[in-house]
Amino acid sequence: MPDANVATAAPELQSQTSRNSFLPLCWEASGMRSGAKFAIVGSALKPARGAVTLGAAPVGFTGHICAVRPVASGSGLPPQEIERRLIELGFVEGARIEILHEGLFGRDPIAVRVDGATIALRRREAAAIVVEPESETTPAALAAE
Amino acid sequence: MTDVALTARIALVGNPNCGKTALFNALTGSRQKVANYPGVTVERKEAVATTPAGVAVRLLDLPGTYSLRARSLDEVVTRDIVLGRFAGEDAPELLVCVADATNLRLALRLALELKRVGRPVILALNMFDIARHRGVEIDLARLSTELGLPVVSSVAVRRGGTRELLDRIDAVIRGGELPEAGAAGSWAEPSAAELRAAQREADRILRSAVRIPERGDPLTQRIDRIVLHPVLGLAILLTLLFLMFQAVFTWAQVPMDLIKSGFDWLGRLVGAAVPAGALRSFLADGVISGVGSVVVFLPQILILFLFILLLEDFGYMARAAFLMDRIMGGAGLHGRAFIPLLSSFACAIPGIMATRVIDSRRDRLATILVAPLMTCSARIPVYTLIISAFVPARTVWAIFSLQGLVMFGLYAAGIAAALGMSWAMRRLLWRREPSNPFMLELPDYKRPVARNLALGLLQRAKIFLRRAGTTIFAMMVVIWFLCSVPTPPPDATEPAIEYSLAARIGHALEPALAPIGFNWQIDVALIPGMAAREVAVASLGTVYAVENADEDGDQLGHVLAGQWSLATALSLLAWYVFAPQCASTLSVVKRETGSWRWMLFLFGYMLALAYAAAFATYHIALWLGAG
Repeated sequence: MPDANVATAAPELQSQTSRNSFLPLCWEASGMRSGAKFAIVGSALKPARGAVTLGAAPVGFTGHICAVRPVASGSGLPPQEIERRLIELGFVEGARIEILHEGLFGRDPIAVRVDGATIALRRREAAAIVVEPESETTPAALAAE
Repeated sequence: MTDVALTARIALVGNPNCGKTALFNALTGSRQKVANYPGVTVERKEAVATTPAGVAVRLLDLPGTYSLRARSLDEVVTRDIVLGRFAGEDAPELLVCVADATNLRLALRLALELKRVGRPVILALNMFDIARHRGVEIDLARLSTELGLPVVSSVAVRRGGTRELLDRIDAVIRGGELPEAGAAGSWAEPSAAELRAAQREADRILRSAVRIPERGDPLTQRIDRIVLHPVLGLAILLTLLFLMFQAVFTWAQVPMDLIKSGFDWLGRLVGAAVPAGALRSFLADGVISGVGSVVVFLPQILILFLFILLLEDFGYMARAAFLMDRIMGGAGLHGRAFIPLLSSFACAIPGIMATRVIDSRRDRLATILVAPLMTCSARIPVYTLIISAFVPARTVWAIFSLQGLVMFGLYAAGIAAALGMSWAMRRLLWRREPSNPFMLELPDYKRPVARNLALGLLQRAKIFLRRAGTTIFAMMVVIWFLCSVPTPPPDATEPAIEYSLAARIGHALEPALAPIGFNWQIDVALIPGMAAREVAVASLGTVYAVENADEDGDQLGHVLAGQWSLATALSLLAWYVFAPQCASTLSVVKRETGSWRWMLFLFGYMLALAYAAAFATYHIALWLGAG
């Protein structure tokens, strides 16, 4: 029963992650001003190494936010509303991220350090946030994911 | 409400957990008026304070929010009052944006948003001492210049810690910066791009004026490693809840005995001073023993609220919601429903009111509909009475009191029923609707402040005693009347109460309730029990005290143990776990859901559950030989 949500969310997360592997998700700070137009990704932008969605990242992940996008999360709210709520809790491009804790069932929800504050949210909504690992985060940690 | 001597109306606005209420308490002391906003059950806290310059100002404590883009009912109140749109409330002339100095990032964005409303804003950096202690360096002058707002530091918990804020308020009033009374504020809902830009601006200001140490609060991190551990965290949460219930039972004993003997003494005093007759019976049996049997539960209610307030002030409540989100989600409830449901252990009414923090209507409705199943403190009198009369005071498994375990079982039954009902409603009523997001800030742990706890408890005690003094008192008079009128004929052979109106009502209900083992005395007590559950105890007291008027000062429990079978007692306990025995809860549900339909649904399903549970309990107990 507690795993029902994970089962439905997982394929979505996987497809995102696989897309991430060849699409550039992060770009230079100058390009980030147009965060809302994220869907249009120019090939001229610099590709990021190992960007994933926050929803798919493991506990201990540290990095920065590359993008907050309106993504259908399966909740009753429109994606744009989720995006705005995330921004109001400080999930803005460039913010430093660390996943501190996760729940017992389905490793959900997660507690995330966002710059100075700690925010709890479900992985489903965290899937709207694309994060780039810090250099010291080894690819092995992500591979384990 | 308008007073010409008052020159300014000031509203406190801030993020949740910024210490806004502590600051409000520090500014106003215990002179607070707690009420509800008309039409909504959002708590309205107002008080008058005097500034150093001798100006009386009216302060309003608004519900915490991250933005004026309100998502839940109480955030709507905050927005509408700030903007002067709330019908029946004057717009505040001055906004004090309260920020936790240790956690400024989101607060600065809110401050920028408030600035655009067009009213004077003062930014108060609260918990300034903690911030300094943690190595946060804030350049107040720079922050003020960058924001374009006056910035002051404040320490709500220290004497004189609000002086700077009060001086600044004086300066704003003296400077004639206040807008015309009634002027509406301007604000337009920001888009995602505007929110991003505002947060970037806040981040830029933060970088330029504040130096924050790399790591957060080390103590919070250390505690969270244990308390938010997936397995250990849940075990700690359950242990805390268990301790809470054991404490309610054991700690409350001494003060309860004191209150009880106080009322007994008062009864004897009246008995000696007033000549025998209707008046003495009314005062001693109706008023004193009736009200006394309810007031005696004040210690238990206060202990329960003490735990809730402590955990809230400490910062644990948000963690509990985090730990419970998935488990409650399995039952179709939102993680945020945990706090309202926990409050419902004290009383369903504040619990139902607390559901306004849940933004989705469906999640909120589900929580409202199951909240009355949580064992509220008004059931404690009934449970205690029956348990102490019928369950032996033994110690089992070396450390647990058997009575405490039965109590725990009754609480568990209520919780199980609440989870089961919400699961069933999710399956049957809202099959297609997806669940809403769960996003919650986990604040740094803070040492609870005795003064704030005391104020919170004082407010709860006032509410309870006011209820005991009004609703419950009125019901006591009614029940005494029903039990005493008409007086028995001179040649009466039966006890006086057999001739009363109460007996007639009880007998009329008997056929319906006999299958679950209730006698007519219980049926009589259930009627005033609709006003408030605990009144049933008082009514039983009245019914049996009047009946046994000759045996002076007998304990109700002893009387019941002699009159009821164990099966009847257990059946009444089962009934009380589920029965919708509270008119105030029903009226709050009606108001909060805005419909008779949901209120009747609640009443119907709870009644059905109660009857079924009592029926099953009674017959199983009879079958086991407890008749």
